[in-house]
Amino acid sequence: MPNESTLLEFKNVTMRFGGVTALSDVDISVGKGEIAALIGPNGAGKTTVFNIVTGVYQPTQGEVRFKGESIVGKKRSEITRMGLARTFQNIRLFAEMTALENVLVGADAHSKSSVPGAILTLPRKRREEREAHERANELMSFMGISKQAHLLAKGLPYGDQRRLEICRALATNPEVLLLDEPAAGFNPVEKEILGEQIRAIRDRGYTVLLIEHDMSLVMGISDRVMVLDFGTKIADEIPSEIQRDPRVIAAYLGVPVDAS
Amino acid sequence: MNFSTLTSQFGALTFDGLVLGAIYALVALGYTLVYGVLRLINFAHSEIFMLGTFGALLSAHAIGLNAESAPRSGLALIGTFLLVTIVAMAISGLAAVLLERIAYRGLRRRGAGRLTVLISAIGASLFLQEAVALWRGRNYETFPRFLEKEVWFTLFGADIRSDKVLILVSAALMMIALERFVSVTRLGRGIRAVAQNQDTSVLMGVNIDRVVTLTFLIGGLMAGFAGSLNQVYFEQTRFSIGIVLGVKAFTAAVLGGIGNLRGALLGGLVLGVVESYGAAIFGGSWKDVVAFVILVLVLMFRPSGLLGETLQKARA
Repeated sequence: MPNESTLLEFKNVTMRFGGVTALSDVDISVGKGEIAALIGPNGAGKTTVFNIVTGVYQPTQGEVRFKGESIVGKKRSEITRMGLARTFQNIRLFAEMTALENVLVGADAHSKSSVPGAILTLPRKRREEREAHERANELMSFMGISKQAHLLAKGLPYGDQRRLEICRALATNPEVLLLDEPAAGFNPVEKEILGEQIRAIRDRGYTVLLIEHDMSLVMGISDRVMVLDFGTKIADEIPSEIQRDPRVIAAYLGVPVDAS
Repeated sequence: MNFSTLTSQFGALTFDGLVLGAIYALVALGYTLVYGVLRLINFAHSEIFMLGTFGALLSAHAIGLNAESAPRSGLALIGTFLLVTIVAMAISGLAAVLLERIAYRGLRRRGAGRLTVLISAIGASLFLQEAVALWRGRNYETFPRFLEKEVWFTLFGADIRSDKVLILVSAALMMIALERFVSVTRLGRGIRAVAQNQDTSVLMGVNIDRVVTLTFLIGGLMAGFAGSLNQVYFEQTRFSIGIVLGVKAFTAAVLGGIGNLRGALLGGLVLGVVESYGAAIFGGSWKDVVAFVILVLVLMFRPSGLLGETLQKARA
């Protein structure tokens, strides 16, 4: 499967924490322009995958490549600037900043001006600042939260906080957007809107890797679904196949009825 | 105790307290900024201030000012003040950045505990003091007066004197500039993001090392500015001048709520004024005691300070 269109690739990745093996010999690949989903029961290792991709953890073994380049051992901020950005399962906004400022922090990742440069070269700084504002406003209206731009992040309704996290991640201009349970706590209508927004994000040219528990959302928007169970990848197929895969059914529902 | 001095000279005591408080506040900003970003009390910050006073002294000597030179006026006065102050700020800013590189960064990278970094700070502080003592000697050196200290008028019993006005006005301008910088610029946004959540900031592409360098640089610039103003006001310095002033500025930062920029400003002014009243009531030699009693009381009864711990909350 790895070919020139593979953006993100895990090869034989193992992650141990002391005696606990969170991931065992896992291969994952995400191709350019696809919506790939990563599912599995709680504790299967999904968030560990995100934490390895974003440099929070260093894998015990194996290779992690982004655009063909190994990202193991790279600084976390550097990985973000290479084009990987994420949202968090437990919302981690800058609570005391406005929604707009949260998005601007993301947009600042690509600002070129250095510390002395930012103090001395005013015209460039102003232009960058203006562009960052335009970009942030555009993203917020895309996610439908532009009315909240000047409210403190902590004052936003829960759903808008989730949407704001997506805006902030998109503002870093990633090639791959990692969404960690973006629909958690959403009602069916909100989930449907989110599904459409994720598709729209893909149509804008971003690649999406999604962790999600809501199966209707996953099956509705994903091009491919990878299933983790106890740190091992047990399936990697298109959604319609996944739903029929006995191993996946067993992992989710326990031992199949006819085997008991 | 003598309350009659307090009542009869209330205006003068308040004004002088504000002048002193402005200097405390400028130094307090450095403590509070570094604490907000790194949760570190930079105990060597007092020496950054001390180096600023020497920056001012040496640049004054370099342009030919000495005990006999006449006070300047007009453009020459402004130019002299700017030059002396800019040199002091540059020296302090550079020293603060180097301090972070040498004494803190390596420890931070290795995830050293707070206590380890604190010991390193104390070591750096003693090193800087003794290095300056070896270089300049242990006695006070006099700062040449280039500003005629004339009383312009009297307001509520306070002598509105040129040097005091210069200190208050320039300190106020500096603090407004800093406030704007932190609340509206990209770099200020980075500082606030790191202060609120370092891990998430990194994942959003914020370069922590750059933010930390910037934070120390700004703290150093403010301390250097304070060093220059301190020279204009007290006209003397030596290697140990930072110790008492540093602890007072730290008290001011804690009093206002460490991590909070406006708190540092408020804490500095309050401390300066209270100290001034205290000196009038108990006698001048009790002045420093008043400051430290305040520190103890704040730590006992309101450890989060007057405005709470909130560099995070500073915003446009």
